[in-house]
Amino acid sequence: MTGLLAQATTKGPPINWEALSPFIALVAGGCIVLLVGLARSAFIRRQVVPVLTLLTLGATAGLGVWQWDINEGIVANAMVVDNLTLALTMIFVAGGIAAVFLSWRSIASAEAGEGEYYALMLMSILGMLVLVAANDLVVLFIGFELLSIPLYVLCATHMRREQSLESGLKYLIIGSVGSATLLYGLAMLYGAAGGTNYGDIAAVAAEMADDTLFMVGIGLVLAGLAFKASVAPFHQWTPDVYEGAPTPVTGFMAVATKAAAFGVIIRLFVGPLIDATTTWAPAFATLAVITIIVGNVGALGQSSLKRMLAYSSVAQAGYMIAGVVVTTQLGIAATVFYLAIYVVMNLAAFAVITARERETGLGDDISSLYGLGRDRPFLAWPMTIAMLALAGFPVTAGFFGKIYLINAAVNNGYGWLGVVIVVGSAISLAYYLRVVAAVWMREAPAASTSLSAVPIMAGGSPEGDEAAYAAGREPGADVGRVVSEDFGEPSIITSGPRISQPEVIFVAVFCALVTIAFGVYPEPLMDVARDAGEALQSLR
Amino acid sequence: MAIAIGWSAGGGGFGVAWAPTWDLRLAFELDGLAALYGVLAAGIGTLVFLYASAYVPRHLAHQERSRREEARLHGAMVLFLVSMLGLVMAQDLIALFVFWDLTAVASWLLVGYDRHNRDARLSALMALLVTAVSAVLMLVGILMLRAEYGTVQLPELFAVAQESTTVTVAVALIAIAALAKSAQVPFHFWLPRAMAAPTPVSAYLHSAAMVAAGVFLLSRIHPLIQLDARLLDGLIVIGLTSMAVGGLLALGSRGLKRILAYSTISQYGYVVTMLGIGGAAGAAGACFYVLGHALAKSALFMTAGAVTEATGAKALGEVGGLARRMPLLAAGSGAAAAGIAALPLTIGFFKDELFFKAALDRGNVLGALAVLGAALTFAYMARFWTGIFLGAPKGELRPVERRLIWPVALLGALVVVGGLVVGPFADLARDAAVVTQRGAVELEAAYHLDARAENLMAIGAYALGFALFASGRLLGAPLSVFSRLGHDLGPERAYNASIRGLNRLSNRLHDIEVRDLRGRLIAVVVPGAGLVALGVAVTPTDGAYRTGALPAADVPLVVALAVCALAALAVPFCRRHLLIALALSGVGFALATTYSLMGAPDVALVAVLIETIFALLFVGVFALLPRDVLRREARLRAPRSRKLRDAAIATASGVVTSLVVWSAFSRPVPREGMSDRLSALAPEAHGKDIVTVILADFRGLDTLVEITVVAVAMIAVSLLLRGKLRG
Amino acid sequence: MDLIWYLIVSALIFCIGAGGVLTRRNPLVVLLCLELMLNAANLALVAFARAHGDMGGQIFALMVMVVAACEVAVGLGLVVAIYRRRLPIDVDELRELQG
Repeated sequence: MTGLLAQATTKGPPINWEALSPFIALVAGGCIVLLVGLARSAFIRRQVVPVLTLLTLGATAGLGVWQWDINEGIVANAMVVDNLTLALTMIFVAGGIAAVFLSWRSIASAEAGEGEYYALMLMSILGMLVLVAANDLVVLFIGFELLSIPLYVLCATHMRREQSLESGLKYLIIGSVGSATLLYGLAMLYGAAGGTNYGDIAAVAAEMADDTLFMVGIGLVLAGLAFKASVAPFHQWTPDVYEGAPTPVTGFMAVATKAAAFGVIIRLFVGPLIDATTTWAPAFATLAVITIIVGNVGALGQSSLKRMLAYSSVAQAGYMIAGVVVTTQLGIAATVFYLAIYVVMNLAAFAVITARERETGLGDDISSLYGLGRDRPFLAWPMTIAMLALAGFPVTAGFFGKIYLINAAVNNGYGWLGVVIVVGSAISLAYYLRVVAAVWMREAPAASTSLSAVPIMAGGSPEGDEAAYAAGREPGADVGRVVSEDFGEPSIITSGPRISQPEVIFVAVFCALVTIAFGVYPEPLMDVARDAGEALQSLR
Repeated sequence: MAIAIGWSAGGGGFGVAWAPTWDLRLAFELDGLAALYGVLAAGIGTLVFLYASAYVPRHLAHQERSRREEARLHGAMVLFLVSMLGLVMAQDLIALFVFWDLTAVASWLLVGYDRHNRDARLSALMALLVTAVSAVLMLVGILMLRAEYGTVQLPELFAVAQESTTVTVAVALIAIAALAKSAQVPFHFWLPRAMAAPTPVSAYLHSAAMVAAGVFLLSRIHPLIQLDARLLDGLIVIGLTSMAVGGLLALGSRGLKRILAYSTISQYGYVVTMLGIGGAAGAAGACFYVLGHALAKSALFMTAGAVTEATGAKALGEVGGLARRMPLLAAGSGAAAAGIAALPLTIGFFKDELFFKAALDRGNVLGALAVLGAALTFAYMARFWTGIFLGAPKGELRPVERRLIWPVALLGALVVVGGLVVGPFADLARDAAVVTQRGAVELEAAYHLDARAENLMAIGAYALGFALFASGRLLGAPLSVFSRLGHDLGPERAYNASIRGLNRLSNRLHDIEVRDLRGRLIAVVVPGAGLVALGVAVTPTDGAYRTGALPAADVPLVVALAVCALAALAVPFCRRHLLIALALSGVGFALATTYSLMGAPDVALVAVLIETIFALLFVGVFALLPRDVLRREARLRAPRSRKLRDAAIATASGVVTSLVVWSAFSRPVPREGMSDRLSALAPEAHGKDIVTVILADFRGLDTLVEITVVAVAMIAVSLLLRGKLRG
Repeated sequence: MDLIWYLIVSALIFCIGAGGVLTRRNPLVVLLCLELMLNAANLALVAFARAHGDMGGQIFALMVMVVAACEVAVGLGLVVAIYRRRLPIDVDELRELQG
């Protein structure tokens, strides 16, 4: 409030429009997309709207690059635009662009209305931006909601599928419990500090470090944010929501939400609460251990790829916490580096899942990957690379990501956490390699029996979907579940005609190439991550 | 070939900056050690490629697979060769680790080449898991070294490393990875299983390359191992154990490739023992041993493949008397077997001679054990070769390509040449040993026709070995008991148990994975409460737990709050939905009253507005919903256990919360009176009312974002309620 | 009146709201209870604002109210959408997603 006061006396605080430009681009793009989406012409809705969305995201990224290195507080210090914000913006935009490509022909976007679908996505990205730029509790909370509400709806956009609606409602309810917890914590922080700006909180953090009110506030905020980052034991929603949501949305949610949640955790905990590190670091470190164990062990038994990736994302969140608790610039750089490669690794995997979902009618069951290695190199290799990268194999970026984190942990006295990460990765080999084995070492069962006559194209073209309805079936993953529940070889298989979906394959191949490129020569990304880490100048 | 030339030209190296942020360099150097292992990998690799070009098409034809798949094997072999060469030349531990894992991946692809075969898949996975999980330990060791000395460059490390616990632990971790890769006890179980691989793969990976990488790494970091004598002793123990276990199992098995796999375990046990003995003798012996063994063993693997192709036999006893029918193969593999068994006139003689010398240096006990080990080797090699090539002819003989025979003959010839003209081989090994030892090494390999200790030991070994071989039938029973014991109690069982345990754990976790929404929420809320309680528990409680005074002027407020609390309390006990909705809006209105009494009229107004709208909305939606759904819930009684659980959670959380609130909130909070100052500013911002000013001006951004939220919600609701769905 | 009384009531409401979310089966009631939780936070915010003599808390509460309204509105939209598909409206029956 003091900051506001100072501004107020000068009448009309100066506003740095350049620094605000990425935000403005997103809002403007969202409005345009929404309006254009009202057009009657199917061509405009199906092709022009996604292109406009891509342009918006491209503009946002471009403006972000333009503003690199500005490092200043904007709008009366309610937000901070620095390299950390901008680096995370790039990550969100990358996730968004991939999600647009994956949604291009999806049923979900057609069913929801392209304009609304893409506008919601853009607004969600705006929310993420606001969230990680926030320098004020009010902005933080509103950004949090702006990020969440569109996602609740996006999860439910595949409205003819029960699971999609169900996952939307589940996400909303559990998500709101998370928001309420966060809010109550924020209220307590406010009560302890007497102001909503991060500066006010930082001013009292040192003396209040062992004050009950402050600590309870920190605890509740931690729980609320941990929920969004799917840190165990607040991860419960993750598998259900990942599985039920349309795959492009899952991919988007998996990467962008995670990055946003970690962005705000860094901003708040390693920012104003840095002087209270002794209060929250042990709690966080404990959560990291729980998260790594729960995520890795939970992923072992899953047959649904999306559920498996959900648990894997829980485990990865655990690794990333290690970068936060060490509270050094190195740790932050490691976290940002890991977030960036986490995005590409996961998007490659989700792109392959999307492609196979449309082609096989097996949904996201692991059996949908059988036989890929033989005749679909452009899907098989990205999946393999993504899995090896997630497992941390060398020559993929995942290897450096993990080493970076472990190194950061070891360097600041959290060696034991490094060991936990290592053990977790060792366990994770089992389930990642299972996927690789499914790709390369299993034969696709011959197309056969009941369902092969009419190919089910979940998320394929709307026409294909109509056909599926006409045949009295649900499109999509429901069919896959039937298969996954009988334990023998899947009997309902359509290895399916190849659907032309170059954009999905493009995403898969591109992400895989990036993963390899940064695995061979990680230096450029390390530079960016280091810059982002150095944005927090109060740290070592 | 290029490697040999490069090495004879004096080696050399190059390095490029890789990731300067971490001071990582891709430094490669072709030193003596790299040359030795590089020559083996490339030279034997070439022969294996030749062999495979004949073998693989036959292999695929047996399994009715398409010829196109041949490329996959060759691709993986090339990947393996390249990563092996990178591994031996790397001077940076991180780079070394990268290539290390690449060899593991390539080996996984190669061993699992017969992908339709479940056994092959599982074996490939086992080999990968054992080597990759142990590689993770190696990574920890590397990072520990980096944390200690700030570098992962090997030359720098050698220069600065001192004896300390950290270094010992780090090196021990790296050594474990190396031992697992070289299939030493207790990690040996993956190697026999990996025999599910096509024979060329075994001939390459399991003789000269993959398993050799383990002892290579031990040689590479030997200067660090030398820092702690305990590590060296550990290596001796593991080496001798592997020697004995591998030898006994080899003597007791029947499968052709299985015998060879156990033999490999035993032979690398020799090398590890020598590395453990250390010193110039040990280093020289180890390097020479690797060379001699690799040549002979790959020849024997190829022999096994050729025999299986020619007769269909896969085990001893299914085949015999091949010496007449395939003389060239018999001669080549005879020479190779003699090499392993260390008969004179083969390169193998010198490898054992050096071994005996090194062992004697360390004491007579070790010398005696060395003789025993050599005797075992002699016995199983004799059994292997005579079992195939002597005795009564059995079975049909199919013609096989010459390319299946020639490589064996060539390697056999090399083994004999090495026994006659040992010079070049000894030079190669000596230069490698110099790197290991970081000092001058004498490697003297020549025949001495006198009664020196090594010769006596060799003769003793032959005699004992022959005795073992001759009494083969007597030994059969105890050996099979031994191998069964090993199978039942050995580390393979532990591996299987841990895999199964992991599966079972995940299944159980999958079962108890919270299913219903409510359970999920409890799982979210209860840990949250736990965190809070923890926070309170560790906080000092001075000045907490006191109540304030209650002045008379505040009575209306108290009433409002009390109404609030009462209405809220009604919620959990209500069963009728309408009542719940009404109770909740009661809370809202009572709160609004409270706000207005607290001097927040604007908040109160908004609250009233929103509460009204929501009360109406909810009532409307209730009206929309089918009656039976609502009634059903009203009638539902939760099961007793569930009720108890909920009650327990509610009580506990209630108690915790009241304590927290009491202790947290009962401290005085400073009053600053900033609102007065703000109010004074209101006219300056062209507003009449402070809240308007704040919303539109000081908090303009928040308001803007909030409007976006409202817009999003409107889009969302319109999207969800769009009527075009066919229900 | 001392700050603590407001806060105790606020905590009480928060707990009741949380309890309601945990124990009720009808998603509509769950949504109502969620709103209760947010209201509790509002009360705390306003009380703190008064104690600090700072308007920030009040503004925060205003924002929260509107945002909470949006959230609940979206929730209601989802419930109605589910109802239109004739799916069970019982949180315990929302268990299609079980892996």
